[in-house]
Amino acid sequence: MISNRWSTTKLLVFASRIAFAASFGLFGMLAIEADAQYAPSIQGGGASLPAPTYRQNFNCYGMPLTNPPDPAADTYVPSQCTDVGYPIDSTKIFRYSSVGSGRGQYMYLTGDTSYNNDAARPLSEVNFAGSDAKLTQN
Amino acid sequence: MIPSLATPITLAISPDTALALNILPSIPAGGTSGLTFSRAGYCKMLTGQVTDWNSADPDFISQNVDPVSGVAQLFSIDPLPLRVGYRSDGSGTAFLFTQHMTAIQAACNSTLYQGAAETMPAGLPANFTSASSGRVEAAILGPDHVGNIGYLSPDFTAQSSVVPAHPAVTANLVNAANVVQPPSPQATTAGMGNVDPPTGTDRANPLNWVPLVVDPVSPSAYPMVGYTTQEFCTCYNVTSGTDVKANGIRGYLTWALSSPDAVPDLVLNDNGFAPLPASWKSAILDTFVTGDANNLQIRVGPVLGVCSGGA
Repeated sequence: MISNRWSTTKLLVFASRIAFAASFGLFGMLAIEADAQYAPSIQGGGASLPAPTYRQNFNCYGMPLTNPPDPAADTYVPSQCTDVGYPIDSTKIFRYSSVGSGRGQYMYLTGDTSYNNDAARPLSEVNFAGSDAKLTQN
Repeated sequence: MIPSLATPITLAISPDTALALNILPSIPAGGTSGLTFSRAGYCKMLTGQVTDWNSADPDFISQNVDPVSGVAQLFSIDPLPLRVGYRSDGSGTAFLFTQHMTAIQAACNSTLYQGAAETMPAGLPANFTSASSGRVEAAILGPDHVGNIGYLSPDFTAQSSVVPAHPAVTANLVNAANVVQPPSPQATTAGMGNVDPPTGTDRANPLNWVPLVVDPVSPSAYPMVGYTTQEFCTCYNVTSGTDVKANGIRGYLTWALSSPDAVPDLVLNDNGFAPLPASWKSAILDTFVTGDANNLQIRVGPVLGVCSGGA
């Protein structure tokens, strides 16, 4: 389900794009702007156990992910977060990849995004991890 | 390493498997399959001592009682192979599962589990079938799945009320106090008990933020529970000259742990999880958002004496 607030935002963005494209005749800019819109500002990955729930809360706090490039399920916004006052911070977009606690911890410690094997949720950097297991020196 | 929510580790089967089994009404009702196991029963099942649903092992069927005759009944009259799905990669779900199984396996005289670990132990029984990341659900629901059982977090089961729906149904388990409990948010909260968050300088040790409860003693507790965590950095870089990441993470934590409309907790409940106790929420905000004497608040780096840069 897509929230009303997102639908309104999409309309405004779409209208501004049409105006911009009409002014300059550069329809290619539409795709470029779309890519920029989807760029997550805070990225992480790890435990698959809480992944759907994390994404729902991230979509409440920040702007929800869209589809594509993220899987359709990731765009879900809980009904409680469609009221006035949400999102809390519309300048933030979170993305969380489901790679398991072990890979998430490794990515977090090394910053090595090549360990992200969740192809549907690419990461350009790792700002945080999710884990159900203790992160130890081992 | 900050706890974000409390979770039960459910034992789940497909609706087709539930239909194929002779599941008698559990008392109390709970879970989403009605299936109920004694401690020795699920211990035997998860150590390979019971490999078919038509087993007459008295521990395995002891909770499947005919309400009229009072006699325990077989789960299946005909042979139906029982296969246990497990994660083959490094998994925190497996960590919580193995820590509990290690603690209770004496109930069925097993030594299969060798402590809490992100991977399953060597020498698994032949009826255990591996599944890669996130695929235990597929092992339970996929082709030729009738008879399969696996461990899953509640958000991948019918206990979750959000979309997309997850059809796997869950079992009730007998806890250390010999009481049947479903993997509900309430029984999960009871399972994590009254463990207090760290105070003072103990807050500087990340390990103190992840209490492990291997086998809860409360009669109200589901027996297989744990906290799942999020790991953040103390210092973050700016993005194009703007504080995006530290600001966003502090803001997110503030909302998730203290929103007056309680929406974050409602979202957790809708997914089958339990929120953190109020004392833990306050301790996390004091330490990592507002900041206390430990100087661990999340911010832009570098900070003299704290970090030389940022993530």
